[in-house]
This record gives sequence, structure tokens and C-alpha cells, in this order.
Amino acid sequence: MYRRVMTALLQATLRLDVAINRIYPTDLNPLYYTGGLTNLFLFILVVSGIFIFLYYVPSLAGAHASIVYLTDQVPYGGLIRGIHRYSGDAFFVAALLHLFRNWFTDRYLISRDSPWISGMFMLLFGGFVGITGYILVWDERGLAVLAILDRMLRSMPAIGGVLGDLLIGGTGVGEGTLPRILLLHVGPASLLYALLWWHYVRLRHPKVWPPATWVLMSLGLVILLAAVIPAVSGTPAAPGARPASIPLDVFFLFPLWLATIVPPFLVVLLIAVLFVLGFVIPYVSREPLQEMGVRHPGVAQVIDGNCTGCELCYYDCPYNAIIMVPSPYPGLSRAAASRKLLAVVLDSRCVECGICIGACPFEALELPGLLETEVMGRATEAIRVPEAARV
Amino acid sequence: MADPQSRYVIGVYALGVLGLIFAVVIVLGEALGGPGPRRVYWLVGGAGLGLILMVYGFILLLLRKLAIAGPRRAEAEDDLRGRWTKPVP
Repeated sequence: MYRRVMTALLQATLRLDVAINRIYPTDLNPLYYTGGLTNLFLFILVVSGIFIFLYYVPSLAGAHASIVYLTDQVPYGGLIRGIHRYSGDAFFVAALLHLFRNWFTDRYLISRDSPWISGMFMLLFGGFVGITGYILVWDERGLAVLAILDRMLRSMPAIGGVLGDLLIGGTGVGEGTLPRILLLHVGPASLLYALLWWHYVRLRHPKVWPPATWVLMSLGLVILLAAVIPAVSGTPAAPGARPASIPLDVFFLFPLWLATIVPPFLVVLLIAVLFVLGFVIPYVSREPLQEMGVRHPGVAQVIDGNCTGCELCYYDCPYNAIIMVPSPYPGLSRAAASRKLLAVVLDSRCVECGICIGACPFEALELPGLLETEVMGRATEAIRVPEAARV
Repeated sequence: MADPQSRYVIGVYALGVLGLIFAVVIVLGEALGGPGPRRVYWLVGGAGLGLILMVYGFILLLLRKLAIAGPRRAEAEDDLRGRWTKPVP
């Protein structure tokens, strides 16, 4: 059932690619740059966030007033605040598109589990950073978001009380609350870049940035939104006063909106189950390897005598599993005799795909369990015309 | 205008004129903007900035379609000549 659904989703994704490729040139298809777009919006968030940080006062009396001052008095302050708001929304949308696309097209298998797992952590931290951003405005909606988040944390058994106290700096809102929320907003956002390093480390040629066309259009759209629908603050928060009924954004604050309808503990449980299932996806392959007829051909081996140091295997390996080192001795073949570099395979990174074998023009790489002579023999056998069919 | 190339060229010129208009909007926004009630002009200037960036993005897209910009010029030229959509004989 899962495999049928995933196959259908893969086909739908590929059909969408084909449709978009009719409009844009293939190297400008925005669906190929969902990760790069997420990175772009993260960069815009950081730059606009630094500007806002310079004016923000993390105190109960000063927070709301500082944001209003930034919006009304600082030149283009309201615009930059809006850019921060809408690029946060765009970051989340792009991240979800990136997740769904890589899930439906099976880009999490074997050693791509590293980017998948780091991506799940980035989604979790990114969502949390977004929620704390709502709180920092310190209007009635921010206070409502804080109250719901506090209830969700405290609903967790055993550790709930501790987590709730850590969040707001005690049992109730006080002067220590907003500095903590600010730390929880800026800290995980900075951690996202460390997670981004983990995300890229096992990828070869990742598309970390969208093409110029999409950078301009995305940035332009965010700025236009910020100008046409300015971000505004509501009534200043009044802790201790009877909270008004505040409508919450159902899409971006979905877990908090859900926590106003069902018991908060169930929402926390749902989030935990979803993330555990998400982490498990790379290890629940669509077909067991035995059914695919895959045998392990062994980690690629460099035949030292033939390697010329041309670096073709180094550039072609999708898993960064080949490095070039200064050659300690000349090669045996004529082409390899004057080499400067020698290829070395990192066993821990090699997934035995054989791409390096195809890349090498000097027969300097082999898979020990699937030699080139065997592959040639099988290919010859496969294309041989049977005796009965010969004219 | 059956020729896609001339459509794209006209598009580039038209977008260029739009870009000039939005540049004027940006300057007006800066000139008239100020704190308090006049901050709406800062937002107007911001809208002009957002629109001009989008216009530049579209111009780049059209230049790509014209095979003037972009890494795969041969593919763009084939696209221009309709080689991707014509059935193979």
C-alpha cells in the first residue's frame, strides 16, 4: 500500500516537472531549487533579523514599543520587519516543498539518509524559531502563542514542568521571559547553519543557491508583500489580564491552533509520532534489496599502477567518497608514469554504485565483486542474437 | 507575432520601461517618506523596489529564452526554434 502510494506520488511529481519544463528552461525549473530557495529565504531572514535585533528591547515594557518604533519611525523599518515576516513564511513553504519532493522522488536512500535526517532536524528547529518569532512581538497574539506553547510543554509527563519553567523563566511570565525567548529565537536559527553543513557534507554538487532569475523574483516578491501587506502589531500584551480570543494562522501555527481544539498532550504526541516516522523513512525502503536483485560488489578499489591522477572519478563521485592525494610514486602504465596525484577511495563513504568505474578512462578502478570483464561478458551475452533468430 | 524571438525582444523592452517607472516610484518613496503618517511612502518605495527586482528576474528569463544568457545556449536555441515541440519524423 505504501509503495503504491509512493509510486503514484513519484509519477505525479515527475508529471509536474514536465509541465513546468514546458514553461521554463529546464535549468530554471523552480522545483529543482526548492533547497536553494529555502537557503535563500534563510539568508534573507538572517540579514533582516540582524537589523531588527539592533532595535529590539527584550523586556516586558519595552518589547512592543521597540517594534512599534522600528515600524513607524525607523526609515524602511516597517518594510524590513515585513521582509522578515514573509521570508519566514516562504522559508517554511519552501522547506516543506523540498521535503515532499525529496520524499516522493526517493532522494533519501542509502547514504542520502544524512541529508534527510539533518533536514528533519532543520524542519523542527525552523518551526520552533518561527513560533518564538510570533512571541517576540509581545502583542496579544504573541502572549496567546506563548500561553499555548507553555501548556503544550507542561502537558508532557515528567519533564513538562521543567521545560515550561525553562521557557518562561519560572512559573509565570516575568522579566526573564523575553530574553529567554530571544535566545530561543536566535540560538536555534544560528544552529541551522551547523545543520546545513551536515546537510551538504555527503552531497556532491548540491544546488545550494537558486539561479539569479529566481533570486530576484523571490526577493522581489517578499519585498512586494512586505510593502503591500505590512506586518503590524496588535494590542500590547498584558500578562495576567483575561486573554482575548485571538485567531491563529492555521497553516503556519497549525500545531498551536490544533492545541486550542484538542488536549495539548495529544498535539505533542502527534508531533513526536510524525517526526519519529519522518526519521524512519530512509530505512523503510520501497523494495528490499534482495528483491531488487542487488548484491554487494564491494567497495571500489583503485588500481594504483593505472591511475593517472586525472580527477575524473573525484569529480563524478556523488558521495564525496574519492579524494586526490599527492602521488607517492609514479604509476606503472605509460600514462600514469608522470602523474602528480593519486585517487584514494574512502571506504566509509563508498556506496558501491560503480559510477567511478564508468568515469575512469584508464581502467584504474574496479569493484572487486563485479569486475569489468564480468560486466562486459554479461552485456555481450544479453545482446547476443539467439541461433534460431539469426537469418 | 508568430516569431517567439520578436515576442521575447518586445517583452525585454517593455519590462525595461516598467523598470524605469518603478525606479521613479522608489525615488518618490524616498523623497516623500518620513516617520509617522508619511511612512506609507516608504512602503510605496518598497513596493517599487520589490517590483523592479521581479522585473529584472523576468528580463533575465527572457534573455535566457533568447539564448543571450544562460549556460546551455544550445538548448535555448533549440527551444526557440521549436525543436522540442515538433514531432520527430
